[in-house]
Amino acid sequence: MGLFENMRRRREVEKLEDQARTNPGPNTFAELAEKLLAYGEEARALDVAKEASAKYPASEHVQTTYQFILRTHLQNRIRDLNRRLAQNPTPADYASLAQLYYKDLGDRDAALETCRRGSVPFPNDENLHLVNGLVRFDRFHEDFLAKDGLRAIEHLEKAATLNASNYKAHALLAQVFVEIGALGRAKVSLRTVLRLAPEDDRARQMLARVEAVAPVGPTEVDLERLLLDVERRGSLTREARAMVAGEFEKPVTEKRTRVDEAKLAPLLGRFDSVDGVRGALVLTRRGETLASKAAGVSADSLADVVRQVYDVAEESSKRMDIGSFVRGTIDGPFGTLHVVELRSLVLAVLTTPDAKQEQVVESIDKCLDLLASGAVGTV
Amino acid sequence: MKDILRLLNQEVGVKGSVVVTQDGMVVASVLGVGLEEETVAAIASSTILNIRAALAKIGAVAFERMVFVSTYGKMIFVDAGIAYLVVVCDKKLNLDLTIVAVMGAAYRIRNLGQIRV
Repeated sequence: MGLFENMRRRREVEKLEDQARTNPGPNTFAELAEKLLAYGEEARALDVAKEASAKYPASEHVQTTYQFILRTHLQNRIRDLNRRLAQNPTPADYASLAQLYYKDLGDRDAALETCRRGSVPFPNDENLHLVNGLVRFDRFHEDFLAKDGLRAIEHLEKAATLNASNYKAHALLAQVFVEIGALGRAKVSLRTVLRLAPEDDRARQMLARVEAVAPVGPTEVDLERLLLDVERRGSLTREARAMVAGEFEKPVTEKRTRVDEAKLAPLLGRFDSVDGVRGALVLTRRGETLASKAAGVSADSLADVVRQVYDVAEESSKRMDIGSFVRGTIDGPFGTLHVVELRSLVLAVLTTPDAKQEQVVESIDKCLDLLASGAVGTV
Repeated sequence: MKDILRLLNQEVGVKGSVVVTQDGMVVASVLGVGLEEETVAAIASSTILNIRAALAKIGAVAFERMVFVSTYGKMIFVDAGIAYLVVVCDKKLNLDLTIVAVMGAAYRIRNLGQIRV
Protein backbone atom coordinates (compact mmCIF):
# COMPACT_ATOMS: atom_id res chain seq x y z
CA MET A 1 0.00 0.00 0.00
CA GLY A 2 1.33 3.41 -0.96
CA LEU A 3 2.12 6.30 1.31
CA PHE A 4 -0.74 8.39 -0.09
CA GLU A 5 -3.23 5.58 0.47
CA ASN A 6 -2.07 5.33 4.08
CA MET A 7 -2.47 9.06 4.55
CA ARG A 8 -5.91 9.02 2.99
CA ARG A 9 -7.03 6.24 5.33
CA ARG A 10 -5.55 8.03 8.31
CA ARG A 11 -7.47 11.20 7.41
CA GLU A 12 -10.73 9.27 7.05
CA VAL A 13 -10.32 7.68 10.48
CA GLU A 14 -9.32 11.01 12.06
CA LYS A 15 -12.37 12.67 10.54
CA LEU A 16 -14.66 10.02 12.03
CA GLU A 17 -12.85 10.26 15.38
CA ASP A 18 -13.45 14.02 15.34
CA GLN A 19 -17.13 13.47 14.60
CA ALA A 20 -17.37 10.94 17.43
CA ARG A 21 -15.89 13.56 19.80
CA THR A 22 -17.82 16.61 18.61
CA ASN A 23 -21.10 15.01 17.58
CA PRO A 24 -21.28 11.68 19.35
CA GLY A 25 -24.06 9.37 18.29
CA PRO A 26 -24.65 5.70 17.61
CA ASN A 27 -24.10 5.97 13.87
CA THR A 28 -20.86 7.96 14.21
CA PHE A 29 -19.38 5.37 16.55
CA ALA A 30 -20.58 2.47 14.43
CA GLU A 31 -19.09 4.01 11.27
CA LEU A 32 -15.78 4.65 13.02
CA ALA A 33 -15.62 1.04 14.22
CA GLU A 34 -16.51 -0.26 10.75
CA LYS A 35 -13.85 1.90 9.12
CA LEU A 36 -11.18 0.79 11.61
CA LEU A 37 -12.06 -2.84 10.93
CA ALA A 38 -11.99 -2.28 7.18
CA TYR A 39 -8.48 -0.81 7.51
CA GLY A 40 -7.25 -3.80 9.50
CA GLU A 41 -7.20 -2.15 12.94
CA GLU A 42 -9.23 -4.95 14.49
CA ALA A 43 -8.29 -4.37 18.13
CA ARG A 44 -9.17 -0.65 18.00
CA ALA A 45 -12.36 -1.41 16.09
CA LEU A 46 -13.38 -3.81 18.83
CA ASP A 47 -12.64 -1.22 21.55
CA VAL A 48 -14.70 1.46 19.80
CA ALA A 49 -17.58 -0.93 19.09
CA LYS A 50 -17.56 -2.21 22.67
CA GLU A 51 -17.66 1.33 24.05
CA ALA A 52 -20.49 2.22 21.65
CA SER A 53 -22.39 -0.94 22.58
CA ALA A 54 -22.34 0.07 26.24
CA LYS A 55 -23.27 3.69 25.44
CA TYR A 56 -26.06 2.91 22.95
CA PRO A 57 -27.62 -0.41 23.91
CA ALA A 58 -30.80 0.36 21.96
CA SER A 59 -29.08 1.17 18.66
CA GLU A 60 -29.44 -1.70 16.21
CA HIS A 61 -26.65 -0.29 14.02
CA VAL A 62 -24.23 -0.22 16.95
CA GLN A 63 -25.23 -3.63 18.26
CA THR A 64 -24.99 -5.25 14.81
CA THR A 65 -21.59 -3.66 14.23
CA TYR A 66 -20.33 -4.74 17.66
CA GLN A 67 -21.53 -8.30 17.11
CA PHE A 68 -19.93 -8.39 13.67
CA ILE A 69 -16.56 -7.09 14.90
CA LEU A 70 -16.62 -9.37 17.93
CA ARG A 71 -17.49 -12.30 15.73
CA THR A 72 -14.64 -11.42 13.35
CA HIS A 73 -12.33 -11.21 16.34
CA LEU A 74 -13.48 -14.60 17.63
CA GLN A 75 -13.65 -16.14 14.18
CA ASN A 76 -10.38 -18.01 14.51
CA ARG A 77 -11.47 -19.68 17.71
CA ILE A 78 -14.87 -20.56 16.21
CA ARG A 79 -13.22 -21.92 13.06
CA ASP A 80 -10.82 -24.00 15.11
CA LEU A 81 -13.62 -25.48 17.24
CA ASN A 82 -15.78 -26.22 14.20
CA ARG A 83 -12.86 -27.92 12.48
CA ARG A 84 -12.27 -30.09 15.53
CA LEU A 85 -15.98 -30.91 15.76
CA ALA A 86 -15.99 -31.98 12.13
CA GLN A 87 -12.95 -34.25 12.59
CA ASN A 88 -13.27 -35.61 16.10
CA PRO A 89 -16.29 -34.26 17.98
CA THR A 90 -16.12 -34.11 21.75
CA PRO A 91 -18.76 -32.84 24.20
CA ALA A 92 -16.22 -30.39 25.60
CA ASP A 93 -15.73 -28.74 22.21
CA TYR A 94 -19.48 -28.48 21.64
CA ALA A 95 -19.88 -26.93 25.08
CA SER A 96 -16.96 -24.51 24.48
CA LEU A 97 -18.45 -23.40 21.19
CA ALA A 98 -21.91 -22.98 22.73
CA GLN A 99 -20.40 -20.98 25.63
CA LEU A 100 -18.46 -18.81 23.21
CA TYR A 101 -21.62 -17.99 21.27
CA TYR A 102 -23.59 -17.40 24.45
CA LYS A 103 -21.15 -15.51 26.67
CA ASP A 104 -18.78 -13.81 24.25
CA LEU A 105 -21.06 -13.12 21.33
CA GLY A 106 -24.43 -12.94 23.07
CA ASP A 107 -25.79 -15.04 20.21
CA ARG A 108 -28.31 -17.20 22.01
CA ASP A 109 -29.68 -18.76 18.83
CA ALA A 110 -26.27 -20.01 17.75
CA ALA A 111 -25.61 -21.26 21.28
CA LEU A 112 -28.89 -23.19 21.31
CA GLU A 113 -28.21 -24.59 17.86
CA THR A 114 -24.78 -25.78 18.98
CA CYS A 115 -26.30 -27.40 22.07
CA ARG A 116 -28.88 -29.12 19.88
CA ARG A 117 -26.19 -30.41 17.51
CA GLY A 118 -24.06 -31.58 20.40
CA SER A 119 -26.88 -33.27 22.24
CA VAL A 120 -27.40 -35.72 19.36
CA PRO A 121 -24.08 -37.56 19.80
CA PHE A 122 -23.73 -36.56 23.49
CA PRO A 123 -27.22 -36.55 25.06
CA ASN A 124 -25.83 -36.83 28.58
CA ASP A 125 -23.30 -34.05 28.64
CA GLU A 126 -23.76 -31.90 31.72
CA ASN A 127 -22.26 -28.73 30.22
CA LEU A 128 -24.40 -28.83 27.10
CA HIS A 129 -27.50 -29.12 29.27
CA LEU A 130 -26.26 -26.29 31.46
CA VAL A 131 -25.69 -23.88 28.55
CA ASN A 132 -29.02 -24.90 27.04
CA GLY A 133 -30.67 -24.23 30.41
CA LEU A 134 -28.93 -20.85 30.75
CA VAL A 135 -30.06 -19.71 27.31
CA ARG A 136 -33.63 -20.80 27.98
CA PHE A 137 -33.49 -19.14 31.40
CA ASP A 138 -32.49 -15.85 29.71
CA ARG A 139 -35.18 -16.18 27.09
CA PHE A 140 -37.78 -16.91 29.75
CA HIS A 141 -36.94 -13.61 31.43
CA GLU A 142 -37.37 -11.76 28.16
CA ASP A 143 -40.82 -12.89 27.02
CA PHE A 144 -41.99 -15.06 29.93
CA LEU A 145 -43.01 -17.84 27.57
CA ALA A 146 -43.94 -21.05 29.37
CA LYS A 147 -42.08 -23.17 26.84
CA ASP A 148 -38.78 -21.40 27.56
CA GLY A 149 -39.30 -21.78 31.30
CA LEU A 150 -40.12 -25.45 30.96
CA ARG A 151 -37.10 -26.14 28.75
CA ALA A 152 -34.87 -24.18 31.16
CA ILE A 153 -36.06 -26.34 34.05
CA GLU A 154 -35.69 -29.58 32.05
CA HIS A 155 -32.11 -28.83 30.99
CA LEU A 156 -31.02 -27.47 34.36
CA GLU A 157 -32.52 -30.49 36.13
CA LYS A 158 -30.74 -32.79 33.70
CA ALA A 159 -27.43 -30.97 34.36
CA ALA A 160 -28.06 -31.25 38.11
CA THR A 161 -28.88 -34.95 37.79
CA LEU A 162 -25.76 -35.64 35.75
CA ASN A 163 -23.68 -33.81 38.34
CA ALA A 164 -25.32 -33.45 41.73
CA SER A 165 -22.66 -30.88 42.68
CA ASN A 166 -23.51 -28.51 39.82
CA TYR A 167 -24.00 -25.40 41.94
CA LYS A 168 -25.04 -23.16 39.07
CA ALA A 169 -27.77 -25.52 37.88
CA HIS A 170 -29.24 -25.81 41.38
CA ALA A 171 -29.02 -22.04 41.96
CA LEU A 172 -30.80 -21.23 38.69
CA LEU A 173 -33.43 -23.88 39.38
CA ALA A 174 -34.05 -22.37 42.79
CA GLN A 175 -34.50 -18.93 41.26
CA VAL A 176 -36.90 -20.04 38.55
CA PHE A 177 -38.93 -22.11 41.06
CA VAL A 178 -39.27 -19.06 43.32
CA GLU A 179 -40.21 -16.87 40.38
CA ILE A 180 -43.04 -19.11 39.22
CA GLY A 181 -44.31 -19.89 42.73
CA ALA A 182 -43.16 -23.53 42.97
CA LEU A 183 -41.98 -22.81 46.50
CA GLY A 184 -41.72 -26.40 47.71
CA ARG A 185 -39.39 -27.21 44.83
CA ALA A 186 -37.52 -23.93 45.42
CA LYS A 187 -36.79 -24.92 49.03
CA VAL A 188 -35.32 -28.26 47.95
CA SER A 189 -33.05 -26.54 45.40
CA LEU A 190 -32.04 -23.79 47.84
CA ARG A 191 -31.09 -26.35 50.50
CA THR A 192 -28.96 -28.16 47.91
CA VAL A 193 -27.30 -24.85 46.99
CA LEU A 194 -26.53 -24.22 50.66
CA ARG A 195 -25.16 -27.72 51.10
CA LEU A 196 -22.82 -27.13 48.15
CA ALA A 197 -21.94 -23.57 49.16
CA PRO A 198 -22.74 -22.92 52.86
CA GLU A 199 -21.36 -19.37 52.54
CA ASP A 200 -23.93 -18.37 49.92
CA ASP A 201 -25.79 -15.58 51.75
CA ARG A 202 -28.05 -14.83 48.85
CA ALA A 203 -29.38 -18.40 48.86
CA ARG A 204 -29.74 -18.33 52.67
CA GLN A 205 -31.75 -15.10 52.55
CA MET A 206 -33.90 -16.37 49.70
CA LEU A 207 -34.61 -19.58 51.58
CA ALA A 208 -35.59 -17.59 54.68
CA ARG A 209 -38.00 -15.46 52.62
CA VAL A 210 -39.50 -18.52 50.95
CA GLU A 211 -39.93 -20.33 54.27
CA ALA A 212 -41.61 -17.27 55.77
CA VAL A 213 -44.18 -17.28 52.96
CA ALA A 214 -44.60 -21.04 52.58
CA PRO A 215 -43.40 -22.98 55.63
CA VAL A 216 -44.89 -26.13 54.12
CA GLY A 217 -44.90 -26.25 50.35
CA PRO A 218 -45.66 -29.26 48.16
CA THR A 219 -42.84 -30.46 45.96
CA GLU A 220 -45.25 -32.13 43.54
CA VAL A 221 -46.59 -29.23 41.52
CA ASP A 222 -47.80 -28.73 37.98
CA LEU A 223 -44.89 -26.65 36.67
CA GLU A 224 -46.45 -26.20 33.26
CA ARG A 225 -49.58 -24.67 34.79
CA LEU A 226 -47.49 -22.29 36.92
CA LEU A 227 -45.43 -21.29 33.88
CA LEU A 228 -48.55 -20.73 31.80
CA ASP A 229 -49.84 -18.43 34.56
CA VAL A 230 -46.66 -16.37 34.24
CA GLU A 231 -46.97 -16.37 30.45
CA ARG A 232 -50.57 -15.12 30.66
CA ARG A 233 -49.56 -12.34 33.06
CA GLY A 234 -46.53 -11.44 30.95
CA SER A 235 -44.51 -10.79 34.09
CA LEU A 236 -43.54 -12.22 37.45
CA THR A 237 -45.69 -11.43 40.45
CA ARG A 238 -44.49 -8.72 42.83
CA GLU A 239 -44.19 -11.33 45.60
CA ALA A 240 -41.97 -13.54 43.47
CA ARG A 241 -39.73 -10.60 42.59
CA ALA A 242 -39.50 -9.62 46.24
CA MET A 243 -38.50 -13.16 47.21
CA VAL A 244 -35.77 -13.26 44.57
CA ALA A 245 -34.86 -9.78 45.83
CA GLY A 246 -32.50 -8.13 43.47
CA GLU A 247 -31.01 -11.29 42.09
CA PHE A 248 -33.00 -10.82 38.95
CA GLU A 249 -31.18 -7.83 37.51
CA LYS A 250 -33.43 -6.93 34.63
CA PRO A 251 -36.26 -4.73 35.89
CA VAL A 252 -39.63 -6.20 35.17
CA THR A 253 -42.23 -3.63 34.41
CA GLU A 254 -45.91 -4.29 34.47
CA LYS A 255 -47.39 -3.94 31.02
CA ARG A 256 -49.90 -1.12 31.24
CA THR A 257 -51.54 0.42 28.22
CA ARG A 258 -52.83 4.00 28.32
CA VAL A 259 -53.61 4.99 24.78
CA ASP A 260 -55.39 8.16 23.75
CA GLU A 261 -57.85 6.62 21.31
CA ALA A 262 -58.70 10.02 19.79
CA LYS A 263 -55.11 10.28 18.55
CA LEU A 264 -55.23 6.89 16.86
CA ALA A 265 -57.71 7.93 14.15
CA PRO A 266 -55.39 10.57 12.65
CA LEU A 267 -52.58 8.04 12.88
CA LEU A 268 -54.54 5.60 10.73
CA GLY A 269 -55.43 8.54 8.47
CA ARG A 270 -51.83 8.37 7.21
CA PHE A 271 -52.89 5.34 5.18
CA ASP A 272 -55.41 7.43 3.20
CA SER A 273 -52.62 8.65 0.99
CA VAL A 274 -51.31 5.16 0.29
CA ASP A 275 -52.85 3.62 -2.82
CA GLY A 276 -54.55 0.27 -2.40
CA VAL A 277 -55.14 0.31 1.36
CA ARG A 278 -58.55 -1.25 2.05
CA GLY A 279 -58.47 -1.07 5.79
CA ALA A 280 -56.30 -0.31 8.80
CA LEU A 281 -56.89 -0.86 12.47
CA VAL A 282 -55.31 -0.90 15.89
CA LEU A 283 -56.28 -3.53 18.45
CA THR A 284 -55.02 -4.34 21.89
CA ARG A 285 -53.30 -7.72 22.16
CA ARG A 286 -56.39 -8.94 23.97
CA GLY A 287 -58.44 -8.15 20.87
CA GLU A 288 -60.19 -4.90 21.81
CA THR A 289 -60.56 -2.57 18.81
CA LEU A 290 -59.13 0.88 19.55
CA ALA A 291 -59.43 2.43 16.09
CA SER A 292 -60.30 1.24 12.64
CA LYS A 293 -61.04 2.45 9.16
CA ALA A 294 -62.09 0.35 6.22
CA ALA A 295 -63.30 0.72 2.66
CA GLY A 296 -64.92 -2.06 0.70
CA VAL A 297 -64.71 -4.39 3.67
CA SER A 298 -66.54 -4.36 6.97
CA ALA A 299 -64.40 -2.93 9.78
CA ASP A 300 -65.85 -5.47 12.22
CA SER A 301 -65.07 -8.40 9.91
CA LEU A 302 -61.56 -7.12 9.39
CA ALA A 303 -61.09 -6.78 13.15
CA ASP A 304 -62.34 -10.38 13.57
CA VAL A 305 -59.85 -11.61 10.99
CA VAL A 306 -56.95 -9.74 12.54
CA ARG A 307 -57.82 -11.00 16.03
CA GLN A 308 -57.87 -14.59 14.79
CA VAL A 309 -54.72 -14.20 12.68
CA TYR A 310 -52.85 -12.66 15.60
CA ASP A 311 -53.95 -15.40 17.99
CA VAL A 312 -53.04 -18.16 15.52
CA ALA A 313 -49.66 -16.58 14.74
CA GLU A 314 -48.85 -16.12 18.45
CA GLU A 315 -49.91 -19.67 19.30
CA SER A 316 -48.01 -21.19 16.34
CA SER A 317 -44.84 -19.26 17.19
CA LYS A 318 -44.94 -20.46 20.77
CA ARG A 319 -45.65 -24.06 19.83
CA MET A 320 -42.90 -23.98 17.19
CA ASP A 321 -40.61 -22.64 19.92
CA ILE A 322 -39.59 -19.50 18.03
CA GLY A 323 -40.77 -17.00 20.66
CA SER A 324 -43.57 -14.45 20.40
CA PHE A 325 -45.12 -13.27 17.17
CA VAL A 326 -43.78 -9.89 16.05
CA ARG A 327 -44.83 -9.28 12.48
CA GLY A 328 -46.47 -11.12 9.62
CA THR A 329 -47.84 -10.81 6.12
CA ILE A 330 -50.39 -12.94 4.31
CA ASP A 331 -50.62 -12.64 0.53
CA GLY A 332 -53.33 -14.01 -1.70
CA PRO A 333 -55.75 -13.11 -4.47
CA PHE A 334 -57.52 -10.88 -1.92
CA GLY A 335 -54.41 -8.72 -1.50
CA THR A 336 -52.04 -8.52 1.44
CA LEU A 337 -52.75 -8.45 5.14
CA HIS A 338 -50.00 -6.98 7.33
CA VAL A 339 -50.18 -7.65 11.06
CA VAL A 340 -47.61 -6.10 13.38
CA GLU A 341 -47.34 -6.28 17.13
CA LEU A 342 -45.98 -3.35 19.10
CA ARG A 343 -45.82 -4.06 22.82
CA SER A 344 -49.47 -4.14 23.92
CA LEU A 345 -50.95 -3.18 20.55
CA VAL A 346 -51.54 -4.85 17.22
CA LEU A 347 -51.57 -2.80 14.03
CA ALA A 348 -53.04 -4.34 10.89
CA VAL A 349 -53.35 -3.09 7.32
CA LEU A 350 -55.23 -4.78 4.48
CA THR A 351 -54.33 -3.85 0.92
CA THR A 352 -55.47 -4.71 -2.58
CA PRO A 353 -53.30 -7.09 -4.66
CA ASP A 354 -51.92 -4.21 -6.75
CA ALA A 355 -50.88 -1.98 -3.83
CA LYS A 356 -47.23 -0.97 -3.74
CA GLN A 357 -46.08 -2.96 -0.72
CA GLU A 358 -42.91 -0.88 -0.20
CA GLN A 359 -45.09 2.20 0.38
CA VAL A 360 -47.41 0.27 2.65
CA VAL A 361 -44.52 -1.09 4.73
CA GLU A 362 -42.97 2.38 4.92
CA SER A 363 -46.24 3.84 6.23
CA ILE A 364 -46.60 0.98 8.73
CA ASP A 365 -43.06 1.62 9.99
CA LYS A 366 -43.78 5.34 10.40
CA CYS A 367 -46.93 4.47 12.33
CA LEU A 368 -44.96 2.13 14.56
CA ASP A 369 -42.35 4.84 15.20
CA LEU A 370 -45.10 7.22 16.29
CA LEU A 371 -46.74 4.59 18.49
CA ALA A 372 -43.38 3.72 20.04
CA SER A 373 -42.53 7.39 20.62
CA GLY A 374 -45.52 7.76 22.93
CA ALA A 375 -47.38 10.09 20.55
CA VAL A 376 -50.64 8.33 21.39
CA GLY A 377 -49.84 7.38 24.97
CA THR A 378 -48.17 4.43 26.65
CA VAL A 379 -48.37 1.29 24.54
CA MET B 1 -39.25 -33.77 -3.49
CA LYS B 2 -36.76 -34.40 -0.68
CA ASP B 3 -34.00 -33.13 -2.97
CA ILE B 4 -35.86 -29.85 -3.41
CA LEU B 5 -36.18 -29.52 0.37
CA ARG B 6 -32.54 -30.46 0.94
CA LEU B 7 -31.45 -27.80 -1.52
CA LEU B 8 -33.72 -25.26 0.16
CA ASN B 9 -32.34 -26.14 3.58
CA GLN B 10 -28.87 -25.17 2.38
CA GLU B 11 -29.98 -21.54 2.36
CA VAL B 12 -28.49 -19.60 5.25
CA GLY B 13 -30.85 -19.57 8.23
CA VAL B 14 -33.21 -22.32 7.07
CA LYS B 15 -33.65 -24.86 9.86
CA GLY B 16 -36.03 -27.21 8.16
CA SER B 17 -38.78 -27.55 5.60
CA VAL B 18 -41.81 -29.72 5.24
CA VAL B 19 -44.49 -30.25 2.64
CA VAL B 20 -47.74 -30.83 4.44
CA THR B 21 -51.37 -31.16 3.40
CA GLN B 22 -54.02 -29.08 5.12
CA ASP B 23 -55.08 -32.05 7.21
CA GLY B 24 -51.58 -32.47 8.58
CA MET B 25 -50.34 -35.32 6.42
CA VAL B 26 -46.63 -34.99 5.74
CA VAL B 27 -45.71 -35.43 2.07
CA ALA B 28 -41.98 -34.88 2.57
CA SER B 29 -39.79 -33.28 5.17
CA VAL B 30 -36.17 -32.42 5.80
CA LEU B 31 -35.83 -31.05 9.30
CA GLY B 32 -32.84 -29.96 11.33
CA VAL B 33 -31.96 -31.00 14.84
CA GLY B 34 -34.63 -30.05 17.37
CA LEU B 35 -37.51 -30.07 14.91
CA GLU B 36 -39.81 -33.09 15.01
CA GLU B 37 -41.78 -33.96 11.92
CA GLU B 38 -44.98 -34.74 13.78
CA THR B 39 -44.90 -31.50 15.77
CA VAL B 40 -44.04 -29.28 12.82
CA ALA B 41 -46.75 -30.91 10.69
CA ALA B 42 -49.37 -30.52 13.42
CA ILE B 43 -48.53 -26.87 14.00
CA ALA B 44 -48.37 -26.16 10.27
CA SER B 45 -51.70 -27.76 9.44
CA SER B 46 -53.58 -26.14 12.33
CA THR B 47 -52.06 -22.77 11.39
CA ILE B 48 -53.07 -23.14 7.74
CA LEU B 49 -56.60 -24.25 8.59
CA ASN B 50 -57.16 -21.50 11.14
CA ILE B 51 -55.76 -18.76 8.92
CA ARG B 52 -57.90 -19.89 6.00
CA ALA B 53 -60.94 -19.91 8.27
CA ALA B 54 -60.11 -16.39 9.46
CA LEU B 55 -59.61 -15.04 5.95
CA ALA B 56 -62.95 -16.47 4.84
CA LYS B 57 -64.59 -13.79 7.02
CA ILE B 58 -63.53 -11.16 4.49
CA GLY B 59 -64.35 -13.37 1.55
CA ALA B 60 -60.81 -14.56 0.92
CA VAL B 61 -60.82 -18.23 0.01
CA ALA B 62 -57.11 -18.95 0.27
CA PHE B 63 -53.67 -17.51 0.74
CA GLU B 64 -50.63 -18.00 -1.43
CA ARG B 65 -47.92 -16.99 0.95
CA MET B 66 -47.67 -16.24 4.64
CA VAL B 67 -44.67 -15.11 6.66
CA PHE B 68 -44.53 -14.97 10.45
CA VAL B 69 -41.62 -13.17 12.08
CA SER B 70 -41.23 -14.03 15.75
CA THR B 71 -38.69 -13.11 18.41
CA TYR B 72 -36.49 -16.17 17.85
CA GLY B 73 -37.36 -17.34 14.38
CA LYS B 74 -39.47 -17.12 11.27
CA MET B 75 -42.00 -19.36 9.54
CA ILE B 76 -42.86 -19.22 5.87
CA PHE B 77 -45.90 -20.96 4.36
CA VAL B 78 -46.32 -21.18 0.59
CA ASP B 79 -49.16 -22.78 -1.35
CA ALA B 80 -47.56 -25.51 -3.47
CA GLY B 81 -50.64 -26.92 -5.17
CA ILE B 82 -52.48 -29.50 -3.13
CA ALA B 83 -50.09 -29.11 -0.20
CA TYR B 84 -48.22 -26.30 1.50
CA LEU B 85 -44.49 -25.82 1.75
CA VAL B 86 -43.65 -24.77 5.30
CA VAL B 87 -40.17 -23.48 6.12
CA VAL B 88 -38.84 -22.88 9.62
CA CYS B 89 -35.97 -20.42 9.80
CA ASP B 90 -33.86 -18.70 12.42
CA LYS B 91 -34.32 -15.03 13.19
CA LYS B 92 -31.21 -13.85 11.36
CA LEU B 93 -32.45 -15.13 8.05
CA ASN B 94 -32.58 -12.48 5.34
CA LEU B 95 -36.18 -12.76 4.20
CA ASP B 96 -35.68 -10.82 0.99
CA LEU B 97 -33.04 -13.25 -0.19
CA THR B 98 -34.52 -16.48 1.11
CA ILE B 99 -38.09 -15.87 -0.01
CA VAL B 100 -36.89 -16.18 -3.61
CA ALA B 101 -35.47 -19.63 -2.88
CA VAL B 102 -38.62 -20.64 -1.00
CA MET B 103 -40.90 -19.53 -3.83
CA GLY B 104 -38.65 -21.36 -6.31
CA ALA B 105 -38.89 -24.55 -4.24
CA ALA B 106 -42.69 -24.23 -4.03
CA TYR B 107 -42.84 -23.74 -7.80
CA ARG B 108 -40.78 -26.88 -8.39
CA ILE B 109 -42.94 -28.88 -5.96
CA ARG B 110 -46.08 -27.67 -7.72
CA ASN B 111 -44.58 -28.76 -11.03
CA LEU B 112 -43.82 -32.23 -9.78
CA GLY B 113 -47.43 -32.92 -10.66
CA GLN B 114 -50.01 -34.64 -8.55
CA ILE B 115 -48.74 -35.22 -5.05
CA ARG B 116 -49.60 -38.74 -3.99
CA VAL B 117 -50.32 -39.10 -0.28
